[in-house]
Amino acid sequence: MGPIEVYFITIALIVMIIGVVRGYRRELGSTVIIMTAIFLLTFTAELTEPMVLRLGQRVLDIQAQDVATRNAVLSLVYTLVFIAIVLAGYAGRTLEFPGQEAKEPLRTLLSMAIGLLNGYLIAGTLWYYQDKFGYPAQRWGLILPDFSDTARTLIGLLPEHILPSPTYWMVPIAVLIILRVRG
Amino acid sequence: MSDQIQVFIALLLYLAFFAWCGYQRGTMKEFVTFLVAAGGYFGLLRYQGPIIKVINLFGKFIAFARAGGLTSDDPNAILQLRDAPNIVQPEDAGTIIFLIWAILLILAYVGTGLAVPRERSKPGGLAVLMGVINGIFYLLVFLPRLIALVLPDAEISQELAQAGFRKVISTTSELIGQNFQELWSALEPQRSLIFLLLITGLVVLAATTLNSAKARS
Repeated sequence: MGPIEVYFITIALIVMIIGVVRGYRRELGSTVIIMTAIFLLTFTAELTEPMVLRLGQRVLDIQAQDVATRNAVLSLVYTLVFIAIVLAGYAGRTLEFPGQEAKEPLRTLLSMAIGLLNGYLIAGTLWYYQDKFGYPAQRWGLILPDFSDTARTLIGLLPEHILPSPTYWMVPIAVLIILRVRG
Repeated sequence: MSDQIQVFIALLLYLAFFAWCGYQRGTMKEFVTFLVAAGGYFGLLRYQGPIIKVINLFGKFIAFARAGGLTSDDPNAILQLRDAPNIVQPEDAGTIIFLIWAILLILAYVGTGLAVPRERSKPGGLAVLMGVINGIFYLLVFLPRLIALVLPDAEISQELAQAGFRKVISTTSELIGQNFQELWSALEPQRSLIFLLLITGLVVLAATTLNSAKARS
Protein backbone atom coordinates (compact mmCIF):
# COMPACT_ATOMS: atom_id res chain seq x y z
CA MET A 1 0.00 0.00 0.00
CA GLY A 2 1.67 3.20 -1.19
CA PRO A 3 1.04 6.85 -0.27
CA ILE A 4 -2.26 8.24 -1.62
CA GLU A 5 -0.51 11.03 -3.57
CA VAL A 6 1.42 8.42 -5.58
CA TYR A 7 -1.86 6.88 -6.82
CA PHE A 8 -3.34 10.16 -7.95
CA ILE A 9 -0.11 11.60 -9.39
CA THR A 10 0.27 8.34 -11.36
CA ILE A 11 -3.27 8.75 -12.76
CA ALA A 12 -2.46 12.36 -13.73
CA LEU A 13 0.78 11.31 -15.44
CA ILE A 14 -0.95 8.49 -17.37
CA VAL A 15 -3.58 10.98 -18.61
CA MET A 16 -0.75 13.36 -19.59
CA ILE A 17 0.96 10.62 -21.64
CA ILE A 18 -2.38 9.87 -23.35
CA GLY A 19 -2.61 13.61 -24.08
CA VAL A 20 0.83 13.66 -25.71
CA VAL A 21 -0.13 10.68 -27.90
CA ARG A 22 -3.54 12.12 -28.92
CA GLY A 23 -2.32 15.67 -29.49
CA TYR A 24 -3.71 18.86 -27.98
CA ARG A 25 -6.31 19.36 -30.75
CA ARG A 26 -8.23 16.37 -29.36
CA GLU A 27 -7.22 16.98 -25.74
CA LEU A 28 -8.87 20.41 -25.75
CA GLY A 29 -12.18 18.68 -26.56
CA SER A 30 -11.67 16.39 -23.58
CA THR A 31 -10.86 19.43 -21.42
CA VAL A 32 -14.27 20.90 -22.27
CA ILE A 33 -15.99 17.61 -21.34
CA ILE A 34 -14.04 17.21 -18.07
CA MET A 35 -14.74 20.80 -17.01
CA THR A 36 -18.41 20.39 -17.93
CA ALA A 37 -18.54 17.24 -15.78
CA ILE A 38 -17.00 19.12 -12.84
CA PHE A 39 -19.44 21.98 -13.37
CA LEU A 40 -22.49 19.69 -13.53
CA LEU A 41 -21.50 17.65 -10.48
CA THR A 42 -20.75 20.77 -8.42
CA PHE A 43 -23.77 22.71 -9.62
CA THR A 44 -26.28 19.92 -9.00
CA ALA A 45 -24.70 18.63 -5.75
CA GLU A 46 -27.33 20.11 -3.44
CA LEU A 47 -30.10 18.68 -5.57
CA THR A 48 -28.69 15.24 -6.35
CA GLU A 49 -27.27 14.26 -2.96
CA PRO A 50 -30.68 14.00 -1.16
CA MET A 51 -32.04 12.22 -4.25
CA VAL A 52 -29.25 9.63 -4.24
CA LEU A 53 -29.66 9.13 -0.51
CA ARG A 54 -33.43 8.61 -0.80
CA LEU A 55 -32.84 6.14 -3.60
CA GLY A 56 -30.19 4.39 -1.48
CA GLN A 57 -32.65 4.12 1.42
CA ARG A 58 -35.35 2.58 -0.75
CA VAL A 59 -33.27 0.29 -2.96
CA LEU A 60 -30.33 -0.66 -0.73
CA ASP A 61 -32.07 -0.17 2.63
CA ILE A 62 -29.37 2.19 3.92
CA GLN A 63 -30.24 3.55 7.36
CA ALA A 64 -30.23 7.33 7.83
CA GLN A 65 -27.84 7.08 10.78
CA ASP A 66 -25.34 4.88 8.90
CA VAL A 67 -23.18 7.83 7.83
CA ALA A 68 -20.24 5.72 6.65
CA THR A 69 -22.37 3.74 4.17
CA ARG A 70 -24.18 6.89 3.00
CA ASN A 71 -20.83 8.57 2.32
CA ALA A 72 -19.52 5.49 0.53
CA VAL A 73 -22.60 5.42 -1.74
CA LEU A 74 -22.40 9.13 -2.50
CA SER A 75 -18.66 8.95 -3.22
CA LEU A 76 -19.18 5.92 -5.46
CA VAL A 77 -22.04 7.55 -7.39
CA TYR A 78 -20.12 10.79 -7.97
CA THR A 79 -16.99 8.90 -9.00
CA LEU A 80 -18.86 6.61 -11.41
CA VAL A 81 -20.80 9.49 -13.00
CA PHE A 82 -17.59 11.50 -13.39
CA ILE A 83 -15.70 8.55 -14.91
CA ALA A 84 -18.61 7.86 -17.30
CA ILE A 85 -18.62 11.48 -18.56
CA VAL A 86 -14.82 11.55 -18.89
CA LEU A 87 -14.85 8.25 -20.80
CA ALA A 88 -17.46 9.69 -23.14
CA GLY A 89 -15.04 12.55 -23.80
CA TYR A 90 -12.19 10.19 -24.66
CA ALA A 91 -13.78 7.20 -26.40
CA GLY A 92 -15.64 6.96 -29.68
CA ARG A 93 -16.67 10.16 -31.46
CA THR A 94 -15.11 12.97 -29.48
CA LEU A 95 -15.20 16.73 -29.51
CA GLU A 96 -12.25 17.98 -31.57
CA PHE A 97 -11.00 21.44 -32.33
CA PRO A 98 -10.57 22.41 -35.98
CA GLY A 99 -7.28 23.50 -37.51
CA GLN A 100 -3.77 22.16 -37.64
CA GLU A 101 -1.57 21.64 -34.61
CA ALA A 102 1.57 23.74 -34.27
CA LYS A 103 4.92 22.33 -35.40
CA GLU A 104 7.33 20.49 -33.12
CA PRO A 105 8.45 21.02 -30.42
CA LEU A 106 5.54 23.38 -29.61
CA ARG A 107 3.06 20.61 -30.42
CA THR A 108 4.55 18.23 -27.83
CA LEU A 109 4.90 20.97 -25.23
CA LEU A 110 1.27 22.09 -25.65
CA SER A 111 0.03 18.47 -25.70
CA MET A 112 1.95 17.85 -22.47
CA ALA A 113 0.54 20.99 -20.87
CA ILE A 114 -3.08 20.28 -21.86
CA GLY A 115 -2.65 16.56 -21.03
CA LEU A 116 -1.29 17.52 -17.62
CA LEU A 117 -4.22 19.90 -17.06
CA ASN A 118 -6.65 17.09 -17.94
CA GLY A 119 -4.72 14.67 -15.72
CA TYR A 120 -4.86 17.13 -12.83
CA LEU A 121 -8.60 17.70 -13.32
CA ILE A 122 -9.37 13.96 -13.52
CA ALA A 123 -7.09 12.76 -10.70
CA GLY A 124 -7.93 15.83 -8.60
CA THR A 125 -11.69 15.29 -8.94
CA LEU A 126 -11.43 11.58 -8.09
CA TRP A 127 -9.38 12.50 -5.01
CA TYR A 128 -11.85 15.29 -4.13
CA TYR A 129 -14.78 12.86 -3.99
CA GLN A 130 -12.76 10.67 -1.65
CA ASP A 131 -11.80 13.64 0.52
CA LYS A 132 -15.31 15.12 0.59
CA PHE A 133 -16.88 11.91 1.89
CA GLY A 134 -14.16 10.97 4.40
CA TYR A 135 -12.20 8.51 2.24
CA PRO A 136 -14.73 5.65 2.04
CA ALA A 137 -12.18 3.62 0.03
CA GLN A 138 -10.50 2.96 3.40
CA ARG A 139 -13.27 0.43 4.07
CA TRP A 140 -11.93 -1.77 1.31
CA GLY A 141 -8.29 -1.20 2.24
CA LEU A 142 -7.60 0.83 -0.90
CA ILE A 143 -6.37 3.94 0.95
CA LEU A 144 -4.38 4.26 4.17
CA PRO A 145 -5.76 6.96 6.50
CA ASP A 146 -2.34 8.33 7.66
CA PHE A 147 -1.42 10.92 5.04
CA SER A 148 2.00 12.48 4.54
CA ASP A 149 2.61 16.25 4.64
CA THR A 150 2.76 16.25 0.84
CA ALA A 151 -0.69 14.62 0.63
CA ARG A 152 -2.15 17.17 3.06
CA THR A 153 -0.68 20.02 1.00
CA LEU A 154 -2.02 18.51 -2.24
CA ILE A 155 -5.55 18.21 -0.80
CA GLY A 156 -5.66 22.01 -0.60
CA LEU A 157 -4.72 22.15 -4.29
CA LEU A 158 -7.54 19.91 -5.61
CA PRO A 159 -9.51 21.58 -8.45
CA GLU A 160 -12.79 21.80 -6.52
CA HIS A 161 -10.99 23.26 -3.50
CA ILE A 162 -9.34 26.01 -5.56
CA LEU A 163 -12.49 26.74 -7.58
CA PRO A 164 -15.30 25.83 -5.18
CA SER A 165 -18.04 27.70 -7.04
CA PRO A 166 -19.46 26.00 -10.16
CA THR A 167 -19.74 29.41 -11.84
CA TYR A 168 -15.95 29.62 -12.14
CA TRP A 169 -15.85 26.49 -14.31
CA MET A 170 -18.16 28.09 -16.84
CA VAL A 171 -15.50 30.66 -17.78
CA PRO A 172 -12.96 28.34 -19.49
CA ILE A 173 -15.83 26.19 -20.86
CA ALA A 174 -17.49 29.22 -22.46
CA VAL A 175 -14.20 30.54 -23.86
CA LEU A 176 -13.36 27.13 -25.36
CA ILE A 177 -16.82 26.73 -26.88
CA ILE A 178 -16.57 30.20 -28.46
CA LEU A 179 -13.15 29.32 -29.90
CA ARG A 180 -14.50 25.96 -31.13
CA VAL A 181 -17.50 27.55 -32.86
CA ARG A 182 -15.40 30.35 -34.33
CA GLY A 183 -13.15 27.67 -35.79
CA MET B 1 11.14 39.28 1.07
CA SER B 2 12.67 36.29 2.77
CA ASP B 3 16.17 34.97 2.00
CA GLN B 4 14.55 31.93 0.40
CA ILE B 5 12.89 34.10 -2.24
CA GLN B 6 16.22 35.76 -3.04
CA VAL B 7 17.84 32.36 -3.49
CA PHE B 8 14.91 31.27 -5.65
CA ILE B 9 15.23 34.36 -7.88
CA ALA B 10 18.99 33.75 -8.18
CA LEU B 11 18.26 30.17 -9.24
CA LEU B 12 15.74 31.37 -11.84
CA LEU B 13 18.27 33.90 -13.23
CA TYR B 14 20.94 31.20 -13.41
CA LEU B 15 18.58 28.87 -15.31
CA ALA B 16 17.43 31.75 -17.55
CA PHE B 17 21.06 32.33 -18.53
CA PHE B 18 21.48 28.69 -19.58
CA ALA B 19 18.11 28.79 -21.34
CA TRP B 20 19.34 31.79 -23.35
CA CYS B 21 22.66 30.01 -24.11
CA GLY B 22 20.66 26.97 -25.25
CA TYR B 23 18.51 29.10 -27.51
CA GLN B 24 21.58 30.75 -29.05
CA ARG B 25 23.49 27.49 -29.61
CA GLY B 26 20.56 25.35 -30.76
CA THR B 27 19.29 21.89 -29.87
CA MET B 28 21.99 19.69 -31.43
CA LYS B 29 24.95 21.54 -29.91
CA GLU B 30 23.33 21.54 -26.47
CA PHE B 31 22.38 17.89 -26.75
CA VAL B 32 25.91 16.78 -27.74
CA THR B 33 27.38 18.92 -24.95
CA PHE B 34 24.98 17.34 -22.46
CA LEU B 35 25.96 13.84 -23.62
CA VAL B 36 29.67 14.65 -23.20
CA ALA B 37 29.14 16.41 -19.86
CA ALA B 38 26.91 13.77 -18.26
CA GLY B 39 28.55 10.74 -19.93
CA GLY B 40 32.03 12.08 -19.14
CA TYR B 41 31.19 12.87 -15.53
CA PHE B 42 29.66 9.51 -14.68
CA GLY B 43 32.14 7.58 -16.87
CA LEU B 44 35.13 9.24 -15.21
CA LEU B 45 33.69 8.60 -11.76
CA ARG B 46 32.98 4.96 -12.63
CA TYR B 47 36.44 4.30 -14.09
CA GLN B 48 38.37 6.63 -11.79
CA GLY B 49 40.68 3.85 -10.53
CA PRO B 50 41.85 2.54 -13.96
CA ILE B 51 42.23 6.11 -15.31
CA ILE B 52 44.50 7.13 -12.42
CA LYS B 53 46.52 3.92 -12.91
CA VAL B 54 47.02 4.76 -16.59
CA ILE B 55 48.13 8.32 -15.70
CA ASN B 56 50.60 6.98 -13.12
CA LEU B 57 51.93 4.40 -15.60
CA PHE B 58 52.41 7.20 -18.09
CA GLY B 59 54.34 9.17 -15.43
CA LYS B 60 56.60 6.17 -14.79
CA PHE B 61 57.15 5.77 -18.51
CA ILE B 62 58.24 9.43 -18.76
CA ALA B 63 60.68 8.89 -15.85
CA PHE B 64 61.99 5.77 -17.63
CA ALA B 65 62.47 7.71 -20.89
CA ARG B 66 64.17 10.65 -19.15
CA ALA B 67 66.59 8.22 -17.47
CA GLY B 68 67.63 7.09 -20.96
CA GLY B 69 65.59 3.89 -21.04
CA LEU B 70 64.62 4.41 -24.68
CA THR B 71 68.09 5.29 -25.99
CA SER B 72 70.56 3.21 -23.91
CA ASP B 73 70.88 -0.05 -21.96
CA ASP B 74 71.30 1.78 -18.65
CA PRO B 75 69.94 -0.51 -15.89
CA ASN B 76 69.19 2.60 -13.79
CA ALA B 77 66.43 3.44 -16.25
CA ILE B 78 64.69 0.16 -15.38
CA LEU B 79 65.02 1.07 -11.70
CA GLN B 80 63.43 4.45 -12.45
CA LEU B 81 60.48 2.59 -13.90
CA ARG B 82 60.06 0.80 -10.59
CA ASP B 83 60.99 3.57 -8.16
CA ALA B 84 59.52 6.68 -9.77
CA PRO B 85 56.79 8.07 -7.52
CA ASN B 86 53.17 8.14 -8.69
CA ILE B 87 52.38 11.49 -10.23
CA VAL B 88 48.81 11.28 -8.91
CA GLN B 89 48.55 10.49 -5.21
CA PRO B 90 45.36 8.77 -4.04
CA GLU B 91 44.20 11.93 -2.20
CA ASP B 92 44.50 13.95 -5.45
CA ALA B 93 42.60 11.48 -7.62
CA GLY B 94 39.27 13.34 -7.30
CA THR B 95 40.86 16.66 -8.29
CA ILE B 96 42.55 15.17 -11.37
CA ILE B 97 39.33 13.45 -12.49
CA PHE B 98 37.42 16.72 -12.07
CA LEU B 99 40.10 18.57 -14.05
CA ILE B 100 39.85 16.03 -16.89
CA TRP B 101 36.06 16.43 -16.89
CA ALA B 102 36.35 20.25 -16.97
CA ILE B 103 38.71 20.03 -19.99
CA LEU B 104 36.27 17.62 -21.70
CA LEU B 105 33.43 20.07 -21.07
CA ILE B 106 35.33 23.02 -22.56
CA LEU B 107 36.28 20.89 -25.56
CA ALA B 108 32.62 19.88 -25.96
CA TYR B 109 31.51 23.53 -26.02
CA VAL B 110 34.27 24.63 -28.38
CA GLY B 111 34.02 21.48 -30.53
CA THR B 112 30.25 21.63 -31.01
CA GLY B 113 30.53 25.37 -31.71
CA LEU B 114 32.99 24.68 -34.53
CA ALA B 115 31.80 21.31 -35.85
CA VAL B 116 27.99 21.51 -35.78
CA PRO B 117 26.64 23.85 -38.48
CA ARG B 118 23.96 26.36 -37.55
CA GLU B 119 21.32 24.77 -39.80
CA ARG B 120 21.70 21.42 -37.99
CA SER B 121 21.31 23.01 -34.55
CA LYS B 122 18.15 25.05 -34.65
CA PRO B 123 17.04 27.38 -31.87
CA GLY B 124 13.61 26.87 -30.32
CA GLY B 125 11.76 25.46 -27.35
CA LEU B 126 13.73 22.22 -27.30
CA ALA B 127 17.04 24.12 -27.41
CA VAL B 128 15.91 26.21 -24.43
CA LEU B 129 14.96 23.02 -22.58
CA MET B 130 18.34 21.41 -23.33
CA GLY B 131 20.08 24.58 -22.14
CA VAL B 132 18.15 24.45 -18.86
CA ILE B 133 18.96 20.73 -18.45
CA ASN B 134 22.66 21.51 -18.94
CA GLY B 135 22.39 24.36 -16.42
CA ILE B 136 20.81 22.06 -13.84
CA PHE B 137 23.50 19.44 -14.42
CA TYR B 138 26.34 21.95 -13.92
CA LEU B 139 24.59 23.23 -10.82
CA LEU B 140 24.55 19.72 -9.39
CA VAL B 141 28.23 19.21 -10.19
CA PHE B 142 29.61 22.63 -9.26
CA LEU B 143 27.55 23.66 -6.26
CA PRO B 144 29.04 21.22 -3.71
CA ARG B 145 32.50 22.43 -4.77
CA LEU B 146 31.75 26.15 -5.01
CA ILE B 147 30.17 26.19 -1.56
CA ALA B 148 33.70 25.71 -0.15
CA LEU B 149 34.50 29.25 -1.38
CA VAL B 150 31.80 30.70 0.85
CA LEU B 151 32.18 28.26 3.73
CA PRO B 152 35.85 27.27 3.81
CA ASP B 153 35.22 24.90 6.73
CA ALA B 154 36.85 21.59 5.79
CA GLU B 155 34.15 19.51 7.47
CA ILE B 156 31.31 21.28 5.69
CA SER B 157 32.90 21.05 2.25
CA GLN B 158 33.78 17.40 2.85
CA GLU B 159 30.21 16.65 3.89
CA LEU B 160 28.82 18.45 0.86
CA ALA B 161 31.21 16.75 -1.53
CA GLN B 162 30.14 13.37 -0.15
CA ALA B 163 26.46 14.23 -0.29
CA GLY B 164 26.94 15.57 -3.85
CA PHE B 165 24.00 15.18 -6.17
CA ARG B 166 21.53 13.94 -3.56
CA LYS B 167 22.11 16.93 -1.30
CA VAL B 168 21.76 19.50 -4.06
CA ILE B 169 18.65 17.85 -5.53
CA SER B 170 16.89 17.60 -2.16
CA THR B 171 17.82 21.19 -1.22
CA THR B 172 16.70 22.53 -4.63
CA SER B 173 13.38 20.66 -4.52
CA GLU B 174 12.80 21.85 -0.92
CA LEU B 175 13.58 25.40 -1.99
CA ILE B 176 11.19 25.29 -4.95
CA GLY B 177 8.45 23.65 -2.84
CA GLN B 178 8.88 26.17 -0.02
CA ASN B 179 8.79 29.15 -2.37
CA PHE B 180 5.73 27.80 -4.14
CA GLN B 181 3.97 27.44 -0.79
CA GLU B 182 5.00 30.98 0.25
CA LEU B 183 3.78 32.38 -3.05
CA TRP B 184 0.56 30.38 -2.80
CA SER B 185 -0.05 31.65 0.75
CA ALA B 186 0.60 35.24 -0.34
CA LEU B 187 -1.97 34.85 -3.12
CA GLU B 188 -4.59 33.28 -0.84
CA PRO B 189 -7.32 35.95 -1.24
CA GLN B 190 -7.09 35.79 -5.04
CA ARG B 191 -6.25 32.10 -5.49
CA SER B 192 -9.43 31.20 -7.36
CA LEU B 193 -9.11 34.12 -9.75
CA ILE B 194 -5.41 33.47 -10.47
CA PHE B 195 -6.00 29.75 -11.02
CA LEU B 196 -8.95 30.54 -13.28
CA LEU B 197 -6.85 32.97 -15.32
CA LEU B 198 -4.03 30.43 -15.58
CA ILE B 199 -6.15 27.54 -16.88
CA THR B 200 -8.18 29.80 -19.17
CA GLY B 201 -4.96 31.35 -20.50
CA LEU B 202 -3.46 27.91 -21.13
CA VAL B 203 -6.45 26.56 -23.08
CA VAL B 204 -6.80 29.82 -25.05
CA LEU B 205 -3.08 29.73 -25.91
CA ALA B 206 -3.39 26.16 -27.17
CA ALA B 207 -6.61 26.84 -29.12
CA THR B 208 -5.13 30.00 -30.66
CA THR B 209 -2.13 28.13 -32.06
CA LEU B 210 -4.63 25.81 -33.82
CA ASN B 211 -6.38 28.79 -35.39
CA SER B 212 -3.19 30.54 -36.45
CA ALA B 213 -1.83 27.30 -37.92
CA LYS B 214 -5.05 26.96 -39.93
CA ALA B 215 -4.82 30.52 -41.12
CA ARG B 216 -1.23 30.01 -42.31
CA SER B 217 -2.06 26.91 -44.38
